[in-house]
Amino acid sequence: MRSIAPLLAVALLAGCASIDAQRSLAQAEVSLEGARAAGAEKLAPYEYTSAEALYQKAREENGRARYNDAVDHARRAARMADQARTQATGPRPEEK
Amino acid sequence: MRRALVALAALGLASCVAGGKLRAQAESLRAEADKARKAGALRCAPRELATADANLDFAEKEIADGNPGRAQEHLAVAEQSARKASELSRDCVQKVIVKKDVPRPVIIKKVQDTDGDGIPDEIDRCPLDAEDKDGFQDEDGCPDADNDGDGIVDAMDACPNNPGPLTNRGCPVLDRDGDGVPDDLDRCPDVAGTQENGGCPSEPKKYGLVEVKKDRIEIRQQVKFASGKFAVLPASFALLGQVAQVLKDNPAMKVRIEGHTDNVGGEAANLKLSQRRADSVRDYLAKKGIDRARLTAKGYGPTKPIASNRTEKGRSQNRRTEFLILE
Repeated sequence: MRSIAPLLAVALLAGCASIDAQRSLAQAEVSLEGARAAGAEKLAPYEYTSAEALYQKAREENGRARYNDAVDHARRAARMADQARTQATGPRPEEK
Repeated sequence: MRRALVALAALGLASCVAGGKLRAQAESLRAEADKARKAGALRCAPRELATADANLDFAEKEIADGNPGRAQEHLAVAEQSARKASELSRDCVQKVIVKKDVPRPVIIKKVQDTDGDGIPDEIDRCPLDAEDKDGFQDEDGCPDADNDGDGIVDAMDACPNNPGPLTNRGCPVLDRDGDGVPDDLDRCPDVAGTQENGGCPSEPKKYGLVEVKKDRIEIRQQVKFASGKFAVLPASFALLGQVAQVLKDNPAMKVRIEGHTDNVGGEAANLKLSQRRADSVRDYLAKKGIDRARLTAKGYGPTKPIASNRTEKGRSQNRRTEFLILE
């Protein structure tokens, strides 16, 4: 019984981390979709490409069960996607 | 056991050496990416630069985590992207230099205005004649000597923007009574009239020997016939001529010509004589151009006296011809 308890605790923690990673990936996906809808692919290509690369890396890490890294990359992907959307919907340099 | 430890140590050493090489490669690629960034890759090759940056981050992380294989994969992608970014940003630099360093030629177009009226020649319809700026078509560049086109130059025209004759100092002649006859030709400028009557209302025509009344054409002298006969004497031609004129002036008028006698002689003979005299008058009027259909002749003899037949004066009054208006 004593040997099973730590294993259960580890499994529980791993499960929580997996859920957290899934949530972060979903959030990143939503942010990316918003950026795409705002035309960020053309209007903020650096930020949008960065966000996509981070999202792909987050999925890769999630697939390897490296949930902490997956969460980290997914959050960075979401932030970058939001930044791309803001830049795409903001005034263009020539419009200022 | 000792051999296993040696093997582990050798593996660790190899790993360190490999990690060092990968770090060096990553640093080199980072420098290349930074160089591309400075050359304008953010503008000219943003996707390539972003891919290079991201993969370098991933590679460094994998190196730190001790995953040289994955780090190698990321470095390969980063290398490819960094090179492409450098390549694309090289043209970008040239474009920027062209844009920044070559000043745009400033074209100073000299506006020509030959007549000096403030309207450039290219839109001035009269580039050699200055616009008079009198408030009438001042934008076309042409002077307007006679704004209203009435033939009187504006300087002499009391109404330069309204045409009028010289007699009225260039001002339009009014027609106060609105009868179509301008006031300067209208003898009655405040009373509407006809052009034929000089702008005055037509007055009923006056005939010297006859007068048109409501129910009859009243004659001021009697139609004269030879005694006991029915032919009209020339002395009455003027009178009957005016009767004919009344009928011509009133083309819808129809009259009945009545012949009357005194009571001297037989009644039948007088009736016959009065009828013949009435017929004679009708014939005369028909000869003057009056349609016979408008004329009725009737002899009443002595049956309708208007005065006493006992006196000569009364009998004279009873011998008469009357023109009654039928319609």
